[in-house]
Amino acid sequence: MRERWREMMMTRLTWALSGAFVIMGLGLMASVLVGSWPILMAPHSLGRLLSPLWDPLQGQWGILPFIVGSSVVTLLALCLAVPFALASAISVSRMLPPVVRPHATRVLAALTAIPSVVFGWWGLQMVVPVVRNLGGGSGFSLLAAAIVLAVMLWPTLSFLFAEALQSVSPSYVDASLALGATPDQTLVRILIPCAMPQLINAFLVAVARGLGETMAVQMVIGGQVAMPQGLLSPGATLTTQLLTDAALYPPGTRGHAALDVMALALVAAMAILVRISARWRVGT
Amino acid sequence: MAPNIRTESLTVSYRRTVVLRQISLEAVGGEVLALIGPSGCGKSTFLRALNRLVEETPGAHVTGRVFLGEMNIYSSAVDVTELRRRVGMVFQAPNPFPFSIFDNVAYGPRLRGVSDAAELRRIVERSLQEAALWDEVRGKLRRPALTLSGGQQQRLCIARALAVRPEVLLLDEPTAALDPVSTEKIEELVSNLRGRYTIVMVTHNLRQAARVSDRTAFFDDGSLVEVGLTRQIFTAPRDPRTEQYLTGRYFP
Amino acid sequence: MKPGIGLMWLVARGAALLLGSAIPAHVSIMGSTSVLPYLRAASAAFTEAHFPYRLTLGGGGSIAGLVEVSRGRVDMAVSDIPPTADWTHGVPLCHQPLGRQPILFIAHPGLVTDLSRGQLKNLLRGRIDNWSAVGGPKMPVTVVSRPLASGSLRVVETQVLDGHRVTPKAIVMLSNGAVMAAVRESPGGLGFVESGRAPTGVTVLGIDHRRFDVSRPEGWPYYAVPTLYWRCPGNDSIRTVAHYLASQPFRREFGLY
Repeated sequence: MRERWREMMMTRLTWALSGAFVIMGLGLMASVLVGSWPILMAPHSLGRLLSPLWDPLQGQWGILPFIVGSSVVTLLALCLAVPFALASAISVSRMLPPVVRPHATRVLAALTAIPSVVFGWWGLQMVVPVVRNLGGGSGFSLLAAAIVLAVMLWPTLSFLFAEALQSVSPSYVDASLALGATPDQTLVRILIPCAMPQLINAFLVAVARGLGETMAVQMVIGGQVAMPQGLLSPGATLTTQLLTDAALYPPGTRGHAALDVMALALVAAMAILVRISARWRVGT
Repeated sequence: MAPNIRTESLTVSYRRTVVLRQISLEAVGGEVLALIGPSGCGKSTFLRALNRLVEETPGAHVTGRVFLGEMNIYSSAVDVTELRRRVGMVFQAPNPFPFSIFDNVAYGPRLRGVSDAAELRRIVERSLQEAALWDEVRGKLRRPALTLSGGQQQRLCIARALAVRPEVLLLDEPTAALDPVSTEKIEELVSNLRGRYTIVMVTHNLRQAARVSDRTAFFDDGSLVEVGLTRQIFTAPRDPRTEQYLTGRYFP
Repeated sequence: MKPGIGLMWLVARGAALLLGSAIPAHVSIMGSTSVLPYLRAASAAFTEAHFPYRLTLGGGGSIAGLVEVSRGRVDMAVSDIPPTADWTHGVPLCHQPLGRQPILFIAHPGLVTDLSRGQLKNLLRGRIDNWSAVGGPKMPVTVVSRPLASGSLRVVETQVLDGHRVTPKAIVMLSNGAVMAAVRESPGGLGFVESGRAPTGVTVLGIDHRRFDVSRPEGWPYYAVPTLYWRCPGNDSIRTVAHYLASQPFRREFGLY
């Protein structure tokens, strides 16, 4: 009797908590949508949003430079991080002696927990001066941000890639080796293709993390609101600009819509990522 | 002509545990040799020692000699890749790759650099015919292999092994995961392949061993207890342990 | 549960009555971070001298302070920026300036030491993008600025740029200290900082032949005026706190004149 009551309460608690989670998520999206409504509904809203001019005090809501900044920084960071991450994932899941593997995995997991501000600080000390010497200017740049982000994403990506590779059934590896494939051929022709859906999901998680990263990027990107002129040019991303101008529009002020629009763009990007990753999951 | 495969004092250990002790056994060219014995007696390890797959297991250590024809396969001069082409293997659970039927069969030839489309098609068709699967999958070669039934998947795995034109086939309980009808088809297939290939087959199904094998070897606790003509083993075993096992009274 | 809370409220209310504090002894202040160090020191001195008063301090920026004070969520705001109806919704605010906080123009060492106001304006607006145009070496200008919510940026825009904006190509740093570091390390760097003393590692620029002098800071023409704001007319305790904070001589140690 008491057991049943307890079980019922547990079920209800679970439902209540997941319900709260859903309501909070929906509430967040709704508030961002409602907040950005005045700008979205203004005449020529899309054209004005996609203009390269950001001066919210003068009614210029162009967030194109930040969309460009977010995309370039994230993509470049992933281009830099993926080969390294794949290499370390292969070492961790296949090449290291099996006794060492769990420890190496644990080290990777621990690295993923380093707070982003530490990476930002490291970038300020190490990456910005290098980029400055390399290309002149201030060193604050999309390139510096991408490098910092790449270093930051590397443990996360390696960890997820390693899990993806380990998820491939050992019977496929046996079959491949038994047909006379070398370990390298087995890696390229069996492990990577078979793990592809999980690898792509890991990649999408990294994209989401990259798009969302604020502090580490803010510290080295320079925060220029004009359209970046190249990789060595300073710039801003949706998240860093949101952070920069958050003090300008405290909650409840009229211009807050400008920030909500950027938040909405981020939420939309994340929603698309989730959709894509769901498609890949079905594909397995 | 299919070669003999012969072991001399083959001993395999994983770290400190000895799993195979001093096995000297020969499969004659073109015959079907069945390996029977209780679970964990070392049959599968014996099979994996014949194509050196056992070496992929970390901590495995092999001593003794294995001859494929006249060649000692554990000599340092041997190309493992070429050895495994000559000694094909099929596993307990059907394990086709999650690719198309065609790509599964073409996997081995492609590893060896065959890239001509017409030649690959010829190899795939020949292998599927040899594995008695062609009639069921012709025209569906681009379908994912995992859409096939379990029995078809196992015959696909046999076709995949045959595609590289091996001389020896190692079958590790090939019907353990299959229903009776599929099992019957595989047994028929093994009977048909006999003569062209030297076949070493591990099985838990005693009647299967009696039906398809020429000779049977009984393993127990990492040792070879006895080997002989299948009829002799099943009717007049020399060792009391073999008799107990065959009559279901053996509890190791 | 409900009666419990009600009871606690009654007890608390009764205790307050018994202590006889008709004047609330707690004053909350929120806003600009630029004078936070001074306010921290001053409020410690104040609470020591005026038991049982309590001051709580919070950052959040000038604008957030003004919004919160006009809504009654804090007692006082400290802001570098004068309030607009956008933020206050028309709630009348009284104010008390804390003093002047000099805004210095700084450049990477070895470029120039003096500029005219016109040159400075064109440099900050991005109209001049090379130091060679103002008598310096051949070196592109890197303007280092602050976010739109910054009080010092407002002052620069009104007093130097005649209402124009700093170039959109400027690097934007979130804090005073970050501007200082960026100008110190970027060749070609030009920026502005709120500072009561001459920062090291950078050239403090003279403008129109006037130089900032720590011993005579009143002579420097560019400054922000951090100001306390509260809802008019305010109560005695708020006025007491405001007067106290605006009259401490050790303000100078914190760069307020």
